[in-house]
Amino acid sequence: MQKINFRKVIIAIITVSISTLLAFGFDQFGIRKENIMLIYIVAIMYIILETKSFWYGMFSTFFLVFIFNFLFTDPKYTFVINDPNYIISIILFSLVSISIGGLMTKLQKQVQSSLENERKINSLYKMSKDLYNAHSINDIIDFEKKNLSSNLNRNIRFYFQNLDVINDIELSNLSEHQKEIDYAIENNQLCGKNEPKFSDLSFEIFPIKGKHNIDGALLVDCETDIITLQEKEFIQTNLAHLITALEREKIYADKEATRIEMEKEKLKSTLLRSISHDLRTPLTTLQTGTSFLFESFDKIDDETKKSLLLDINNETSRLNEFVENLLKMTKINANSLVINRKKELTEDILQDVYRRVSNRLSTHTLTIEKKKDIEYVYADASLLIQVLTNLVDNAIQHTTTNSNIWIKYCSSEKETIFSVIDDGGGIEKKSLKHIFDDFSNVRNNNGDKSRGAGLGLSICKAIVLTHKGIIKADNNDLGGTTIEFTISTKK
Amino acid sequence: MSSKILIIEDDTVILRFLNLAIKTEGYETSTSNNGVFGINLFINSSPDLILLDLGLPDIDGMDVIKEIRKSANTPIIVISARETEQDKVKALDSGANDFITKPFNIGEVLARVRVWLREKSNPENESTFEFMDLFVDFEKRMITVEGKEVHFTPIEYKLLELLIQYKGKVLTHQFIQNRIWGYSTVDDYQTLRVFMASIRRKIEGEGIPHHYILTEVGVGYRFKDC
Repeated sequence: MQKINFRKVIIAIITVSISTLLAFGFDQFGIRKENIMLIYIVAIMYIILETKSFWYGMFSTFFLVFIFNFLFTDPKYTFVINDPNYIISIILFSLVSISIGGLMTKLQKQVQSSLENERKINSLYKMSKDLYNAHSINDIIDFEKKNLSSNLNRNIRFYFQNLDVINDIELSNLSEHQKEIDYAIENNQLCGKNEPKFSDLSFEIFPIKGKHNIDGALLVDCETDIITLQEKEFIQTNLAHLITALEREKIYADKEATRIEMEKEKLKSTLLRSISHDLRTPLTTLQTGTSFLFESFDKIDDETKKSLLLDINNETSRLNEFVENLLKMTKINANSLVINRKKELTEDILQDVYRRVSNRLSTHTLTIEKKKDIEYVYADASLLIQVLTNLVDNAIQHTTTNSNIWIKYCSSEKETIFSVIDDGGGIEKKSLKHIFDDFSNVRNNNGDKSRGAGLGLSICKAIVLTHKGIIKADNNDLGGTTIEFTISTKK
Repeated sequence: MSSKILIIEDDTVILRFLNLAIKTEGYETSTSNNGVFGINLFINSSPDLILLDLGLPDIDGMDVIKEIRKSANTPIIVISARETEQDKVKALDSGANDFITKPFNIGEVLARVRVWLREKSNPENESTFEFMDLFVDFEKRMITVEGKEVHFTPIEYKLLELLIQYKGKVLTHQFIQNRIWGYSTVDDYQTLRVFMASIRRKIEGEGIPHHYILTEVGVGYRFKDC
């Protein structure tokens, strides 16, 4: 039986009083008693409507019968009835009141439950929409957690066996119930309080079972009040949606992982191929050169010897540069490259670049811009030097003999733009986009003449990106290529 | 009597190359392929200069430096494949005098050896210095570039004088800072770098640069050896 609600009692009393006053007035004007009955029926309807309770209506009916008897039936102001007509009227009045009360409460319940259903459908709709927009397994579970706990007003916890998520039960010391939870998942069976299995628990276990290794459980607290059938249905519908969403996400993640794995494999084999090519070419020069010198030392003149030795020396320095790049690339790929950004003088960097490349220039001319003012960049000096060295080396290797190469720079408040410009041929338009990709080698496609795995430029890109700058290449008016990149001047 | 040079290097081929090149230059050599024997050789033969590889099979090259520094100031030139700036600075701080990074040019090694042996034989006390277009008169405190006098502030002059005094040798930021200003700094040697940049502008002509002052990025400066 529901508790007595003070507000409802007041409503009943006021309604009874007003209707009685009205009836008394009518009676004074000699209006027939049957109408008074009708007023009372209206009053009872109002009470049921306001209190939303059948029983308040019935109590009020009971009181009104006595008031009617006391005030309006002869002999007045007694509980005695002389006219048997009134007895019949009172009986009929009571019956009508009871049936109206019954009908009205039924109607109200229906309205209530249809409102409730509408709310649930809305929440389900919103949930499936939000689940669709969730982007990771964690998002989905987080969202579902919020949704369920706010709708149920209960403490809930999720547990998943094979998903890479933080499980609630480990956080809330429920691991001791691992056995029960595992049983529920294993047998796909509701367990816990109010269920045949493990009824001594203070919560109920809803198993979550889906394809693609989705196994888990939802723990719903029901220590204080039991879970109603409606709630159970609501939970199960929610869980069905959750499973679909999780399956979808899992399939997507698995696919993505396979794709990345495949891409990695492809990259690895390309890398190996191009590295072995890039190592072999200079090594061949070294081996043939040195063996020729060794075997024919007395037969060749000094001039030839010198030029052979110079070739060997140049090839070695190139090989060294290549190994350097390879090392940096490995570090960048393994995310173990330590970036030590500092405020550096731009001219110091450029001077070092000049020193590094000067003996590889041969027929090329390198001009480095000089500025009156002192300018700074905020960068890792050795990495920035490597970028510029690579770009110049790239220009040396891929341009026609006697080409010019310039390094220019231009600083603004925020960043410095470095440009490495050459006038030696340019790059095909369709290849421009790809020159910073790993292992692209675009300028020369004629077999062994093409040097470098395209590693140099992709390292440039990686280094510039770690400095949060951008790098781009374009053909210029001089009939060559300009590669530009930005490095910030401040932290 | 020719100078004695001790070479400590574990790679046989590199050791042979170094030995050959240095002997060809007319120096006497002794060699060791590990640290402990190297220290022994140092004690017994008291060389004039040491070429030391940092990556040794038995003990760390840094420990060899520390051991030698306990008893002598013999110049030590470190040869190393460890190439980060911190490694270089660390070696210099523990007492090494100069460094060469692998792979190196043999000409570079010989130049460094010459520089470090020269100081021992004749300490600098000339009153003028001339190198390509640069002329410095230490008595008059006057500097000319391509025959024209260039004005130097007192600090700039002190810096240039210091660099010339140690020409061919690497000077760490910290060393220069202490010698010129007498105190250390926390600003990453920004002031020092700006002074260096302005000195460069004054002594290096237009067009193709002479690069009298070489920057050892992250380590310090070196005045070109002449």
